[in-house]
Amino acid sequence: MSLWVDKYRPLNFKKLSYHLEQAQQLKNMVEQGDFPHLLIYGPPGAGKKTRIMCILKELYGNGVDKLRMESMLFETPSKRKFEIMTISSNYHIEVNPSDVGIYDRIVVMNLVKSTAQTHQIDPSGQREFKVVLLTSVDQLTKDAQHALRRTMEKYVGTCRLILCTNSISRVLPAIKSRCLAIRVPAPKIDDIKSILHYVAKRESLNLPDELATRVAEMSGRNLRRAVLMLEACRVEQYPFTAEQKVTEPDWQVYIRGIATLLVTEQSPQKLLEVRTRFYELLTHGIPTDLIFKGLLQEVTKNCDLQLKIQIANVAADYEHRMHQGTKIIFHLEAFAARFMAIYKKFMDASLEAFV
Amino acid sequence: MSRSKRNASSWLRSSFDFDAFDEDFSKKKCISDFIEDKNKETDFTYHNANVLQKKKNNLSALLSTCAPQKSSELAVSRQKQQEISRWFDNKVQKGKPSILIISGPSGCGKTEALKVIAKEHNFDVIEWITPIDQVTNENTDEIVRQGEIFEDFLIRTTRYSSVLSSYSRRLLLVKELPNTYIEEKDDFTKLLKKYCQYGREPLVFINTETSNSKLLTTLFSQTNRDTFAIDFININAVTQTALKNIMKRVSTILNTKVGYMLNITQNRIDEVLSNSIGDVRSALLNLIFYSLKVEHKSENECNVREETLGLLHAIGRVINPKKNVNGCSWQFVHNPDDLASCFHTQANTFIRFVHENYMNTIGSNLDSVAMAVDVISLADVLSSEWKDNDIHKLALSYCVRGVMIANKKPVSQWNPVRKPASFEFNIQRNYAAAEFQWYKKYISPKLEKQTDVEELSESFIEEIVD
Repeated sequence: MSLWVDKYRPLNFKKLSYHLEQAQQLKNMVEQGDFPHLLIYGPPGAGKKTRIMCILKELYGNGVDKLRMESMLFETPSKRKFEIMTISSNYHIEVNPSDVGIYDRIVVMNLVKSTAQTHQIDPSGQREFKVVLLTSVDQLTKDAQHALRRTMEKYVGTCRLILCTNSISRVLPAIKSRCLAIRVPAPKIDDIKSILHYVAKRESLNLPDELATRVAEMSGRNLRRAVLMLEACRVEQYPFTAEQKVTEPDWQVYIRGIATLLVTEQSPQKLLEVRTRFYELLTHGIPTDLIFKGLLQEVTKNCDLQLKIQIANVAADYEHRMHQGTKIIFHLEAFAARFMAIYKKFMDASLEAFV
Repeated sequence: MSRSKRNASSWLRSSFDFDAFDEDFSKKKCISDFIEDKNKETDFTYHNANVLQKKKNNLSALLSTCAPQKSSELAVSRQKQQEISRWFDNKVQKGKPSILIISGPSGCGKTEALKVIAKEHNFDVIEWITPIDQVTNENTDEIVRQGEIFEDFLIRTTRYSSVLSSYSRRLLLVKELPNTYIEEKDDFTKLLKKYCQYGREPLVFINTETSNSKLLTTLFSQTNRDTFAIDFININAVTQTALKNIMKRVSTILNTKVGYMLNITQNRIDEVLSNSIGDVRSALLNLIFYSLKVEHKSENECNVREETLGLLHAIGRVINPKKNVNGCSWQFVHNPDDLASCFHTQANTFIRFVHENYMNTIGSNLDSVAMAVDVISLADVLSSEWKDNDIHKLALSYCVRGVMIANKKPVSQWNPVRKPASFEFNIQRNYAAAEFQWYKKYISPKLEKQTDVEELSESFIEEIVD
């Protein structure tokens, strides 16, 4: 029993429902027969992966649907062995190299090499290249990205890379320039709404337009989340009502809770409490930039502009440090402490003015 | 003419002239040789002291002065001594091979015990010392394998009796084996077999027990021991009382003979004893070094030992910095750099401990908190830069200083130092996956309850159509 997100994922270019012009361009590109390495980027839930799968389908036909999951074994020069999950068909292989942390360089090098070294058996009937699909490229270490750059050039004859990432700001310029960068923007609210209605129709459900609007807005233009939310609503309550509760991911609620803690009282004791909450978030594998972003959005809600600028500055500072450093908790806590200090000063000053 | 004659007499010497002993000769010989050669001289002590006076700085000679001369002076327990004696009495037969292994921790007196007891049984000890330099064959100029030299030693050394030796019998002593045998077990077994065929004199292996030595299990496995009838004697570490007796004996010897350079007092003996762990050799060396008379230096300076700080202790000093205030200037009681230097090898752990605990003592001042945690955050960034070897030291030093300075008025109260939460830093953080998983967890259990046949079949058809 698959979720609706998987069930109603469009599988070819014809079925895509938004960014149609771009879809046509991609289709044309594939029909030309050959294309450079691709770098597909865009916010989460915009449909990057869907488009990639469409490209593959267009390239190789139904063969790409026969997927198998395998775990590949790699060995570091220091004889440490590790495994990584791959999803592959006869024509492509998908892997998220950042799953193995600092050893991603070895994965990138060996995987591309082993895929590229084998030629297609019958090049006349098929394409003469295979596709390696790397996801979360922005989380790759610098080392791995440099390695990627070299392998990209070397094996261009037998293999095409499709890189998938949320943001290209952390992708090396050298890689960017070797790829055709394609941005997949987030869908508009109306697009999401029409898709929600379509899904509801296929499921033969009666979806009130107000609820669709609410879900679309709460999803933050993230189509995946919108469809997931709709399904969550469905299991929560059916028939739908316009005012029914829309389930948000619990970490968002949790982050909001932390923000409230920060705003209500500023003291080292509270900071300790906040620290334990951060630990809680981190142990559940919540992405750290999400924590930072959510926190900043929440705490600046009732600040004036001057304060907002200051806090955003601080947040940017510590987020940057977090990416450079290794201990995430230090930087989260540093941001929380700095915010408390600034906010307290501001409150005291405004209180004095009031008196 | 006369001059050339005198020259000749100074550097030419008849090879059979060994018994003639003159003072010039003794001066030229290396001290340790000298002492060994002259062991049998009756006026040994006199010469020995003489030589020591001439070579004031030769400390290694001191050790051999302390070597036990009688079996009653040995560090090894009486029972073990008797065991070795019994082996000499019962197992060793003239012209027949016999093998013994003596095993024990380092510095428990294995070699000395063997030498002394062998002497009492009128055996001359010939020791194998693995040559460091490569030996080349005189005729062919080829490098001779160490294994071959060793084989020569085992089989042929005892073939011909020496004219020099005054002992009636000889004994082969092997303390270290050539490295080849560590890999080639079979070669060693062959060698032992050969020795059992041709060997004439007893052979003793001394095996120093270390945690990782596998000699006993590999080379001298039980089967080997059984086939070659090897005897095995295990010697324990020296007991505290035995060590005490030895120290007493040695101190009187040293004080009387080399009192001009050593000054051994009971205090120092006690100090050394309290630090020793059943190792006579190291205890002796410590005692000698400790009691050296150092000119122009106060004696106290010698025994100031480097302070070793425990992790928790150091954390306490960092998060609770004490200051010496002097007017308007002040200084930390404990130098931050000294604190940091104790933990260079575990900078990351130290920083994590500081982070976990800095808030214990910082009071209610938010600015200090913000400053301290800012410092810690930057220290983490610094220590993540691993391209330079020294940068983590810098990061640690920065962190320690920063936190100490940020904490302006430490609150002293009882604060147990906590251990940082150990959590997996390498969890994969993937937004899409997290979101998907969370909703799946939320939706799936509820769906299972509601699933009816119709829905299932419908979705099934859908999939097929797709």
